Amino acid sequence: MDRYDRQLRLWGHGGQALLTKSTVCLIGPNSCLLQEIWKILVLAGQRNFIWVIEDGNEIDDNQFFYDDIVRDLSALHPQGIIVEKKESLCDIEWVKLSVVILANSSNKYYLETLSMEEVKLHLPPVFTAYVHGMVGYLHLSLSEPYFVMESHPDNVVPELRLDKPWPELVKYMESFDLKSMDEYSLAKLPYPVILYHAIIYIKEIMGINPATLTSSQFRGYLTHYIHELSPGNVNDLNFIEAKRFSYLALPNPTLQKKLESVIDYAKQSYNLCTDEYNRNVSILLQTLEIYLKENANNHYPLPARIPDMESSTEEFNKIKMVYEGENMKSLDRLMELLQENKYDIPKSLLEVFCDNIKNIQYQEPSTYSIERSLFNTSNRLLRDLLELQYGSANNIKMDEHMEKVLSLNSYPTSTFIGGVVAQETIKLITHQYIPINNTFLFDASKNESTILRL
Amino acid sequence: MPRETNIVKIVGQESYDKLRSTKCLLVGAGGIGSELLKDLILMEFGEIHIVDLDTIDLSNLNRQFLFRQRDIKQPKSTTAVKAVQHFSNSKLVPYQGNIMDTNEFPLHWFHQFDIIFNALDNLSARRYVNKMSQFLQTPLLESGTSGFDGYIQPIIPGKTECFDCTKKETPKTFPVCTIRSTPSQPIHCIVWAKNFLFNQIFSAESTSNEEEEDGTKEWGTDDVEEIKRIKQETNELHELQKIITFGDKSRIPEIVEKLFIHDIEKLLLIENLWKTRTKPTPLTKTQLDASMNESKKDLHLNNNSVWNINEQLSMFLSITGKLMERMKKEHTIEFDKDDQDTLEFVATAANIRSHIFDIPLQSVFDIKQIAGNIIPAIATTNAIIAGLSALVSLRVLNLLKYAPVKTPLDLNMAMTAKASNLSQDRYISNPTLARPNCECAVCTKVTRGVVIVSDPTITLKEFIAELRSKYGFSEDISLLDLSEQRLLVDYDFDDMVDRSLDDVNLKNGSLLFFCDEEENDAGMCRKPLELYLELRNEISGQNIPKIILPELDITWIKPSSAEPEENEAERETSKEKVGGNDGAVIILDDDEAQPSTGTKRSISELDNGFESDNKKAKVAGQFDDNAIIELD
Repeated sequence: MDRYDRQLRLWGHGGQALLTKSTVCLIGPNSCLLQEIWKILVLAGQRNFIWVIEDGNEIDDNQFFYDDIVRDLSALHPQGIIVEKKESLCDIEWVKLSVVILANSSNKYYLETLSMEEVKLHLPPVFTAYVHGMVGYLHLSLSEPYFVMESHPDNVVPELRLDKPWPELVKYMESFDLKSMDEYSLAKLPYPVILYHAIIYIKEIMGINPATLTSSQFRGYLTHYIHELSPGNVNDLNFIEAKRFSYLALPNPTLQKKLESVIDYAKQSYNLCTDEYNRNVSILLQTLEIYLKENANNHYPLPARIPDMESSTEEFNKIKMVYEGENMKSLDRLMELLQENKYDIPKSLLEVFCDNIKNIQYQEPSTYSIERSLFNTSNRLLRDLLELQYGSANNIKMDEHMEKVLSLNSYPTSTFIGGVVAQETIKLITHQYIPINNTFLFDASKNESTILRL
Repeated sequence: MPRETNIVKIVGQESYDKLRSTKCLLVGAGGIGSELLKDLILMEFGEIHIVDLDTIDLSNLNRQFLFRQRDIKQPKSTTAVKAVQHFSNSKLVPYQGNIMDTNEFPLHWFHQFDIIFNALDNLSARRYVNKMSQFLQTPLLESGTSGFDGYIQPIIPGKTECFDCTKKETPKTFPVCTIRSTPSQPIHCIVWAKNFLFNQIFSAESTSNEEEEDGTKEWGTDDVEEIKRIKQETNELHELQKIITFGDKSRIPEIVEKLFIHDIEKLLLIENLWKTRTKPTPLTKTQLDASMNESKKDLHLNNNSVWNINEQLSMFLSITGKLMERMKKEHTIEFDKDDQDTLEFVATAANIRSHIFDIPLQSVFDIKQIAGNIIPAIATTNAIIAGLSALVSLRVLNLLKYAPVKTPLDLNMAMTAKASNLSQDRYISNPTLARPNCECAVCTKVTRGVVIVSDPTITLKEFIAELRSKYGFSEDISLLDLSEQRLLVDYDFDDMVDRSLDDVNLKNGSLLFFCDEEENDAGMCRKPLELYLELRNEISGQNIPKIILPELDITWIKPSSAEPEENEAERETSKEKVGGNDGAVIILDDDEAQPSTGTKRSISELDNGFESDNKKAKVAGQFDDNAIIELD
C-alpha cells in the first residue's frame, strides 16, 4: 500500500501532487535546523531542492544527525532527491520556486537581496527561521495575496438554505404533509424537512417572520410546533436533531458579508497574483460575483454533500439528490461563465471551490520587505535574536537568564522549530489549512510561545 | 567531544552528571518514538531502553525516518537502535515486546527507570504504563498525535493529574442487530464485513456460539424471530468456512448467493423489521452471472474511486478466489488493513451489502480508513511533539538550574491543533498542569502497593485474612483480579475461597483490587487497595513469611457515585481529543461474557469496581478491555 497513505488522509492526492512537483529553496549553512526542516520535507514526498550554502557558523558545534545531508536524505525518498547547490542568489529563477526558507542564515546580504523591490515582486512565500540555544523564531513573508479554499475548519456547519429555498427544494419539502403522517413515517423524516415545515408554521399559522427571531426564540417555537404536531415523536432522533440544528433554519447574514468581502478582495488584488493557484481562486471568486448578480436571490452555490442525518435511507437519498442537483446546476453555470470569459480552469478545482465557498480564506501580502518587517519589531526577544543572527551579540543587554538560554545549544529546540517550519511550508504548498500569520517566537526554557504580526 | 561540552553548558556540570546517569524508558519506536530517540540521544541521556511490539510497514516511512524500504517487516525497536547506534553516546537497549506483558516487563523492571516517555498509539497501553508510573512514582511524559493535532502531558504521580484523571474518548458502539440485520450507514456494513464475515470464514478462531446459545448475549433487540435468524445465520456461515477451506473455486458463487441473496430474502421474511425501515433488495442471479464472467478478466480498478455494483461483485468473486488459494498455505488469515487482499474482500463485501440496503458505497481508500482505524499521521507533528516532550523532560527532572521548577504544578502540558488554527494568537497552548482529579479511579481513589508472595499455594481465604488483619478491613469485602477482569471473592460469592492463588491462576504481575464494602457511621468507606502481586518462587526457607504486605496508610473516602463523571465528561470533551482515542469500534454484545475461569458473573467497569452494586456495565464499552474491541 501507499507510502504516503497516512498523510493523504490530511491533504488528499491533490495536495500530494502539489508537494511532489514543488521546488523549495533552502538558504543557510548546514545546521540542525536546516537538517530537521529538510528531513521532514523529504519524508513528506518533496524531492526538488535548491540549496544556497552559506559558510557554517559556530553555534551548532557539529551536533548533526546527518553526516552528509544530501546523500542521507536521498535515502528517505523512494526516487531520491534532486539538489542544486548554489553559492549565491544570482541566477535563481524565483518564480519557479514554491517556497524559500532561510534557515539559521546569518549572511545579511541574503536578507537584503530578498528585500529588494525588484526581487520581491517575483518571490514565492519566504520563511526566515532561526534557532539559538533554547529560543527561536519563524517569520513568514508573502509577496502576493495567498488564498486557501480547503481551510479544513474544525466544525463544519451544514448549509441547508431553508430560508431561501429553490423550486426543487420547495417541491420536495411540500411533498410531505406532516399533519397527516403517522408516528412511524414522521420518525423517518430527515430533520431539514421538519425545520422547513416549522418555518412555514411559524410564518403562516403564527404570523411571525422567522428571519426576525433569534435562534433560541426559533427553537422555542420549533419545540412548540413539534409538540403540536406529534407529542409521540418528541424523543425521536430526527426530531432531536431538528432542535439541535434549529439555527440552520435562520438566515446567516455574516456568511454572506464575509463572502462579499472575500470577493472584493479578490477583485482588487487580482493584478498582484502571479501564482497559478492564487490566480485561479481569484478568477473563481470574480466569476462567482457575476453568478451572484444574475440570480435574483443572491444564492451562492451549495456544497455537493449534505451531512449524515437520522432518517430512513430512502428519504436521505432523496433529499441528498435535491441538494446534489442544485450543486450540479451551479457548477454548470459557473463553468459556462468561466468559458465565456475564456478562463481555463480545471473542473476539479471548480468542484473544490463550490464545496468550500464558506471556507475560503486569504492572507494579504506583507506590507514591508522582510528586512524592514523584522528589524522594526519592538519585541525584545526577537530583537535580541536578530542581533545574534545578523549583528554582534555585543549590542544585547541581557539578564543572566537570557544569557544562559541564548549561549546554550539544545537539539530538541531545532527539532521543534524545524517541525513548525516544515508544517507551515506544507500548508503553503498544498494550499490547505491556514498558514501562520506571520511570526512565531518560542522560548523552550519556559515553554512560552508568542505570535506577532509584523 | 564537542557535543558533550554543549550539553554541559546547557545544564551545568552537576546536572550533566545527573543526565548521564539518567535511565529513560521510551515506550514506542513509531512516529513520536523515532523522533524522541534521536532527541534523547543528542541530549546525552545516559541510558535509553526502547520497547516496541511492532514491525515496520511501508506506510510508516512517511514519518518514521529511522527506517528504510529494506527494513520493512523488521522489528521497530531493534531497527531504530541500529540506525542511531553509530552516533549515540548513550547506552541503548531495544526490546521487541508488548509493554503490558508482565513476564517480560514486571513491575520491578520498570523500577530501574528515572523517567518514562510514552510514544504509544493505543489507549490500553497508555493506561497501563500510567498505572505502572503511579505504582512506582516515576514521572511519565505522555504524548500523542493525530494528524496536525498533538499533545504532551507530564505526569508527576501524586502531584499532578494522571492520564486517567480526564475521560478519554471511547470507541463507537453498535448493537448486534444493526450490524447483522438492519444496517443504515456504511460503517455498519464495514463492521459486518470485517468483524463478522471475514472473521467467520477466514479466521481459525471463529467466535464460539456458546453465549449465543445460553441466552446471555445482548442483542439490542427483543424480536425473538430476529435473534433466531441471527443465530441460524452464524451456523450457516460455518458452512461457508468449509467451502473456503475445501478450496474448490467453482463453489465461490454459492457464497455470494448465500450472503447476498438467500440471507437477505430470509431477513425480508421478518416483517417486523421492515415496518419502519426501507426493505433491502437482494441481488439477482442475473447480476451474479454477469459478474462471474467479468471476474475472469483482469480487473484494473482505482482504489480512490467508488466502483459500481457489478465491479464490486466481480472483485469480490476474484478476491475470494485469491484468499481461498492463500488459505491452502496459510490456513488462517487475519484482517490487516495493509494486506490488500483482505482489505479488498472487506471493502467489496461491505459495499455489496450497502448496495442491498440502499446505503451509499465507498472507495477502498475510505473503507481502509474506517476498517483499519487509520489515524492520519505526518512527520511535522511528530517532530513538534517529540521536541516539546524532550524539552520538558529537562524541567521534569529539574535539570535547568536557571529555570528551576518549584512545584510540579509549574510544569506545562502542551497542545497543538492544526498548529496555527488553534486560535488567532497562539501556535501551541500550554496550560500548567492540574492537581490529580479527586474523582480519578486510577490515581486518587485507590491506595497502591506491592504484595510479595513466596508461597502461591496459600488459599484465597488465608490471603484475604492476612489483608483484612493488616489493613483493618471489615468482613464485607470483595477481591477482584484486574488483570483478568474477574471477580474472585465477594459477599455473596465465596466458591473459590478454598482454592490457592495458583489454582485461580494468579501470577506474577497480577493486579488485585481489594475493597471494603462497609461504610462507617459517617457514610465513609476505606479507600480500596490496588495490589501488584509479585511472586518470589525462588525464595524458600522456614523463616520467610508466605506473604509480605506493604505498609500503607488506609484513608477513608466517600463512596463514589456515578454522577460526577458525567460532568467531567463534559468538561473534558474539548480538551482531550487527540491521541487518547484509538478510534476502536466496539460491538455491544459481550458485556455478559463469561470469563474463562468460570466465575459466576463477570465484572465490567473494573476501574470502578468499588461501586459494589455496579459490577455489571452501566455504560458498557466504557472500558476498552471489557467489551469486544471489534476494530483495532
